[in-house]
Amino acid sequence: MKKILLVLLYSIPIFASMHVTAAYPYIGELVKAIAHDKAQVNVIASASSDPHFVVPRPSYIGMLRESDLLIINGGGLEIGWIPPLLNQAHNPKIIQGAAGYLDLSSYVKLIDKPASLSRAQGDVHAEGNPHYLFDPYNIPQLAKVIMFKLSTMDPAHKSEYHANYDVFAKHWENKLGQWEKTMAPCRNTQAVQYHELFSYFLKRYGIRTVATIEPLPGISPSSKHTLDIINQIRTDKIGIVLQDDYHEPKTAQFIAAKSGARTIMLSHDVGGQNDTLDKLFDTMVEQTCQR
Amino acid sequence: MMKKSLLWLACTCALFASDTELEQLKKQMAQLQQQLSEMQKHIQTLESAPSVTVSDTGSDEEMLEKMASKSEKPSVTTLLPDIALILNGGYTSRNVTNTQYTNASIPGFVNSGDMEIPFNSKNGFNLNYAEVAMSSTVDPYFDANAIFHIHGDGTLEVEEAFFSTRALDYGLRAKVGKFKSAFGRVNEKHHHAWNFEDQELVNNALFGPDGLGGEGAQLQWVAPTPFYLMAGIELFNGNQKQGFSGKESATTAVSYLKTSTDVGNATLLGGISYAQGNSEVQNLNSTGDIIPDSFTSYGKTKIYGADFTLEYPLEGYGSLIWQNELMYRTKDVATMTQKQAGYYSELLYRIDENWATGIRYDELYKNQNEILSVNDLHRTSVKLEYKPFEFSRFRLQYNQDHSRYIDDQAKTIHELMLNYTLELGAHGAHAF
Ligand SMILES: [Zn+2]
Repeated sequence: MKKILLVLLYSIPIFASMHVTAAYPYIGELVKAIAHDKAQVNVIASASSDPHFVVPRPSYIGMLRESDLLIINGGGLEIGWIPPLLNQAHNPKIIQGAAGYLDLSSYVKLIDKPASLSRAQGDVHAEGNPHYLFDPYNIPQLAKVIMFKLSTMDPAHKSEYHANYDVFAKHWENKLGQWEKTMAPCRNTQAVQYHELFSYFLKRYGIRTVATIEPLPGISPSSKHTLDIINQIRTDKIGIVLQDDYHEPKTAQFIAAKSGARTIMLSHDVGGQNDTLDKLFDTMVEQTCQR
Repeated sequence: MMKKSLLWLACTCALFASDTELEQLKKQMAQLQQQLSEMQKHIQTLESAPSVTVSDTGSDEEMLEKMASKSEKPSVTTLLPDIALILNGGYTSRNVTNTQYTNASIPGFVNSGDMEIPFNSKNGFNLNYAEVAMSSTVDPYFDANAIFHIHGDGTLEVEEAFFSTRALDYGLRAKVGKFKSAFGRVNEKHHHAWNFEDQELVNNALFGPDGLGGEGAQLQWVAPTPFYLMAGIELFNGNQKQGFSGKESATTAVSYLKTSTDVGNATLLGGISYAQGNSEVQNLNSTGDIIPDSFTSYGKTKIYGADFTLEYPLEGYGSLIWQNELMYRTKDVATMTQKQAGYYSELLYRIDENWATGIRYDELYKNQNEILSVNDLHRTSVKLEYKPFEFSRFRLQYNQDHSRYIDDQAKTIHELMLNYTLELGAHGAHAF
C-alpha cells in the first residue's frame, strides 16, 4: 500500500510541463523540434512495425491517461488501434473532439482518395492516402500546426515555440533545396513499391508508381501478380523497387533478381539508423536517386 | 499538348531549312525543351505544395483554424452509428451423437440437461450467429454500444447493450446497461475474439457459455501511474446460470485490479479478480436428499481469479503469447460448502499476417461437491488458423475432451471443428 502511494505521489508532476503523446515517431520528432524541453513527449508506435497495425499494449494506456495532448497522423491510419486505447485511457482531455486531440491529416491535402469504396478492393484507405509524411514539403506545414497548437495550450511558452519553429523551418528549407537538386535527374522515371506507402515522396519528385507488389492493399503477393510486375519492369525499363521494412522483402528481391531492377529498403518512420527526420529523408533521397 | 505542337512546328520548319539552319534550330529546340521541363517542374512543385497560405495575423487559435484544409465537409451519414456484421459458422464432427452431446454433464458443475451449447452444437454444419454490432458517440458525455446475435435457429439475443461515460475526470469511467464483466482475462471477450473456437473450460464450468455479466453497472478507474494500473467494480443482478442465485434482491458484486508493464520487447499483463454473490441453499427431503428447485435461504458464492499473460512480438507480424488463468470458487449449498477450481494455459504462435497456431490445456483440478467428486476433468486443444485477409479467418481446431460425462459415465470426446469468421462493415478494432 505504501508503495502504491509513493508511486502515486511520484507521478504528480512537480513542474507543470505539458505531456504530449505522439502516435508515430515522426510526430514526436516534430514536437521535440518545436517544444524542446518545454513538453514531455511520449511516442506510441515504433519505426520497426507496420504503421497500419500497431499492436496495442496496456502501457500505452498509462501514457494516454497522463496526456494533455494527443497528436495523431489521422486519415484512418490509426483506426485499428487508437480507438480501443483511447476508450480505455479514461482521459476526457484527449478524446476525439476535445482540445487535446490533434489530427494532423486535417491540415494537409490527401491524394488518391478512392472514387468508390469496397473491400473487394482490399483494405483501401477510404479518406485518401494517409502516408503524407513522405512529402517533405508537408513537414514544415505540420510543424507549424504543432507550433500553433502548443502555443494555444501553453501560452506561457508561446514565444519559444514560435522561435523554435522559425529555426526549424529555415533548416528544413535548406534541406528541401538539397533534396530537390539530388532528385532532379530522376524526374520522369518510374518505380514499383510494395504498398502505396511512398507515393507522396515519389509524386513530389516526379517519379511515377506503376505497380505495387501487393495485388490489393493488405493482400499478400501472388505469384501471377509478381510475374506480371517482372514483365512490366522489363518492358517499361523500370529502375527501382521500393520495399518497406515490415513486409517480407523476399518478393521484392525476387522481382529485382529476375528483372534487373534495384531493390531499395526504406524506413517508414524515424528510428534505428535513421534516428532524425533529416536522416530519414536524406537516406530516402540518396537511395532512390543514385546516378 | 504544348510540347507536341512545338515539335510539329519544328518539323515543318525543318523541311524548308538548310543544314546549318537545321543545326541552329536543333540547338534552339533543345533550349526550348529544357525551359519547358523546368517550367513543368515548377508547376508540379506549385501544385503539390501545401495549398494553404496563411497571413500571419490572428491569435494562434485562429491561425490553426485557418490552416485546416476545408476541402471536405463531413457528410450527415457520419452521424449514423458504426455498424459491423460478423458471420460465424462451420462444420463439426464428434464421436458422440448430438443428443448425447447436449445431454452431457460436467460433474459437480453442470448437470445433465442443463448444458447450454450456443456454438457448434451439432455434428455437421452450424451457423453459429450473425452478429450485428452498433456503436456511436451519443453526445459529448456518452458513448453507446449494442451487440446482437441472430442464431442459426432464428433466435435473437442481446449480447450487450450499454452506454458509457466519456467525460468523467480522475481517470474514471462508468458503464450502465447489459454487458460482460471484465472479471479475469477472457470473460469480457466476444466469441469471435476468442483464441479458440470454444470457451475456456473453467469459464464455461463456472459461468456458463455467456460468461459472467448481465444487467448491471460498472465503474473503472485508471491510475495516474507511469505503468498500467486499472481497478474496477461492478454490480449485476444475480444469475443462476452463472453460479449465483437468480432470486429477487440477489446481487452479484465483482471487483478486479489489472496491471501491465513492458520488459524490453515483451509485455507482461496480470490481474486479480473477485466475485461475490448469493447462492441458493436448497431444501432436503426426509431422507436427506436435495429437493430440486426448492429454496430455503441464501448462502454465499465467492470466486477468486488470477491471470497472467506474456506477449512477445516477433519479426514482422509474428508474435508469441502465453496466457494463463486460474479460478477458485466456494459455494454454499444444502449440505456443504462446495470448493472447486480450474485453470487453463495456452500458447499462441502467430507466424505471419496469414497463419497462426496454438495449443491449450484446460483442467478442473479441484471439485468437492455433494453430487459426484471427480477430479480428472481436463481437455487439450490445438488449432491452426488461416487469414486470407484482415477481415476473414478460417480455423481448424481439434479437441480431446475428458471433461464430460455421458449417462453418468466418463466419455472421451474427440471433436474436429472447421470454422469461418467474417467481419463486414466498420473496422473492428480489438483491444489487447
Ligand atoms: Zn497505407
